[in-house]
Amino acid sequence: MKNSMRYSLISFMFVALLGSISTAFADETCMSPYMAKIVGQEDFVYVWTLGEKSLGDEQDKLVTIDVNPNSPMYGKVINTLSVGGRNEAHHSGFSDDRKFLWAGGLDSNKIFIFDVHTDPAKPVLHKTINNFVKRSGGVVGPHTFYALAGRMMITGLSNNADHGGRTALVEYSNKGEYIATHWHPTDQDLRGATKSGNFADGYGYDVRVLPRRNAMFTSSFTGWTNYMMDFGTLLGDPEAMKRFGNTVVKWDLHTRKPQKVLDVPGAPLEIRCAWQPNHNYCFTTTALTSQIWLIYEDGDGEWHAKAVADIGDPSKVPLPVDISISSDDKGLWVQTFMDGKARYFDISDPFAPKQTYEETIGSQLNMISQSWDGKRAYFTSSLLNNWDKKGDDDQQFFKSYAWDGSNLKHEFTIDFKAEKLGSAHQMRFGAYGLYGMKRPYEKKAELAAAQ
Amino acid sequence: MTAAALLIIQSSFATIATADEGLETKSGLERQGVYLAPGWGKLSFTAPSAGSYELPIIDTAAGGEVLTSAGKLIDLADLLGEKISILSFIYRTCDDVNGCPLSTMVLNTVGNKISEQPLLKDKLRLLTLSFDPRSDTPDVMREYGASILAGRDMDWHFLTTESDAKIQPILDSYQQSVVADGVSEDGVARKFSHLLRVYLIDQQHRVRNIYSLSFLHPDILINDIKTLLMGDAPVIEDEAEKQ
Repeated sequence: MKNSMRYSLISFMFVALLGSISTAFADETCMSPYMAKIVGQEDFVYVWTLGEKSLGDEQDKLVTIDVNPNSPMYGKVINTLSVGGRNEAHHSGFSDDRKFLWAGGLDSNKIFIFDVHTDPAKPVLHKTINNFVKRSGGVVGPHTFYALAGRMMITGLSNNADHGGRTALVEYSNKGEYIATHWHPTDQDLRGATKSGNFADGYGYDVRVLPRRNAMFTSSFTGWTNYMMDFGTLLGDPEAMKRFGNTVVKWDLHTRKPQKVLDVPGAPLEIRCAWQPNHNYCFTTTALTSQIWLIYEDGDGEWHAKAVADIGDPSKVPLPVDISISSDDKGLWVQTFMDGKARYFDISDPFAPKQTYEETIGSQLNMISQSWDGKRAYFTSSLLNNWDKKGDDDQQFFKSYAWDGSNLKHEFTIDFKAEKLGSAHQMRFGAYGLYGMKRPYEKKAELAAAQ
Repeated sequence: MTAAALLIIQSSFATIATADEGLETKSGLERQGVYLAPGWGKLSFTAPSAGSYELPIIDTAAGGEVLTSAGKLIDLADLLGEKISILSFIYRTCDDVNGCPLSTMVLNTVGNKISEQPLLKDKLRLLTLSFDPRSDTPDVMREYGASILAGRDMDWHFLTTESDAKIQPILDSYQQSVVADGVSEDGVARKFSHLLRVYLIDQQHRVRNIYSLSFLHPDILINDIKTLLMGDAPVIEDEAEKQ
C-alpha cells in the first residue's frame, strides 16, 4: 500500500548525510532534527486550539483529527481534550522520542504535556507546568517547543518585569524539570555576542538548529503587552508598533552562548533551516515588512542576514506568518494572514526566491503542516485571539489539501466554529507506527482475512 | 536490521538497512555507499574549548539492578559517583553502523584518549548496558567487552540485567526509548528501534549531558569531561589547557 503502510523514523542527520538520495522527501513541516519523523502516511493531526467565549466548552483543547484516507474515520475529529480554561494556546512541539507533546499558553504561561504514545488516537494530559515564569527567572510567553536530546528548548516572548519583548530561551528536561535560562543578548548586556548591525533588542520568538554547524538561531517578535492587545488598537498605536523585534541571533548550540546578533528588521518569525548537507542557511520571514530573509554562512564561516524576496505587496502588509521548507531545499511555503493566501516560492537559488504559486485558503490564514513527502498540506486559521479577524472574516478551520507540485487540491475542511471547538492553531502529526503499533482497522482486516 | 540511532530504515534506505559492517572503518563503509554519523569522522566544527561553558544539571542518574559480566548482581548506582561516567545503552546484535557500534566506538576513543592523560585517566568510567537481556547474558557481554578491550586495562563495564522486567525501569528512568521490532522464531526479541542516547554523569550522580547522533563525537565528550573536572578540580585546568 503506497502510503498507508510505510512509515519510517529518521533523523535529520540521516537526511543530511543521505542528501544525494533524499530528494524524494520533504520535511514533515519543521520538526526538530533530533526527532523521529513520519516519512509515510500520517494517521492524525493534533491541533492545539484556542478556546473561544460562547463556543462549546470555551476551553483550550487538543483536537485530534483522523487524516488517514484508509481509516473509517478519515476527515473527522476523533478526540478533543480540554485543559480547563483559556491560556492563549499557541504552539506545541514533541519531545525527541515523540512520546509527549508539549503545548504552551502565551497568556497563562502554563505548559501542558500530553501523552501521545499510549494511545495515539486519544492523547491524555500527562503533566502541567504551572511555575514556568518563576522557575525561568521571569520569562513570559512560552512559545516554541523544540526538542533537543533528552531536553526541550522553549522560547519565551516576554518577561514579567515590564511585559515587553526582552526574553530568553528556557531549557527543560524531558521529564518536565527546569534546567536553565539563556537570556537573549541586548545592547546593555551582549553576553559575549557581537552586534553586527543596529539592533540588539533581546527579543525572542522561534528557535531552530543546524547541528552540523553547531549553530542555533532565534528570531524576535514582541512582548506580552503587544501580543495580548487588540490588533486594531495595536496598529493605531505608534509607540507600541516600535516594540517589535529586529534581530536574528546566531548561538553556539553546544554551549548555548549567543555569538552574533544579526539585523533582520520587521519582526522575523518562523525560522526554517535547509536540510541538505552543504546548505548552511536558514530562512525567516518578517511580519511587518513582508520579506523573505536568508540567514547564511559564507566561505569564511561568518553568518549574515540578507533580504532576498518580497512576499506579496509589502505596502499592503499581507503579514507573513508560518513558513515551511521542503527537504530538497527547493520549495518554501509562505502563508500570509491578512489575505489568507498560501504562497509557494522556488528557493533553488536561496538568494533569489521566486513565487510560483498562490492560493487563497480562507479569510485569514496562519499555520501550515506538510507531510514528509510534500504531497499533503494542512492549514489552520488562527493567529492570536486578539489578532484574529472579527465577524464573518473570523473563519476558524482546519483544511486538508493535496499538493502535486503545481496545484493544491482541496480534500476536506473541518469548521472549528461549527464544531464548537474554538480557534485552530498549530498542528503536529501522529502515527501508530511511531510506537510499534498497528492501526486498529488494519488489525481487524488482518484478523478477518485470517478467519 | 534496525537502525538504532534513528530507528527504522526502509525502502530508499535499503543500502544502509542491509549493511552489516560493524566497526569497520569509515573509508571502507564510504566505499560501499554507507553514510556515517559525525562521530565516525572529523568534527565539522571546532569543539568548544573545555571550561568555556557550563553543563547544567539535567537529571538525577538512576540506579537499578544490573548484572556484571561476571554474573554478579549489583546496583548500577554503585558504579556511579566514584568517577565521571559515560553510560551507553546498546544491544549486542545491533548492526546499525550509526547506532550501537557508533556509541561503542566513541566510548572506546574517549577512553583511549583519556587514558593517555595522566591527570585524567583515573577520572573516567565507561558503562555499556544492554537492553536485550534475553540475548545479552553476562557471558555474551564479557565476550563483547573482551573483543573491544583487546587486553587493554580500561575502566569499562559491560553490563546486562536478569530480565526485561529488570531493564525496563532503568530505561524508563533515563527515558531511553526502545521499541522491539521483531521476535525471532525462538521467541527472543533481537531487533530494536531506539533513539541513540549516551549520558554524561558527574560524581554526584547527576546527568550533565545527553548525546544523540549529531553530537556524539569524541572531541565533544572529552571537552565536556574536562569541563566537569575543571569545575570540580581546578588542577585539571592546566592540563586541559595544554590539550
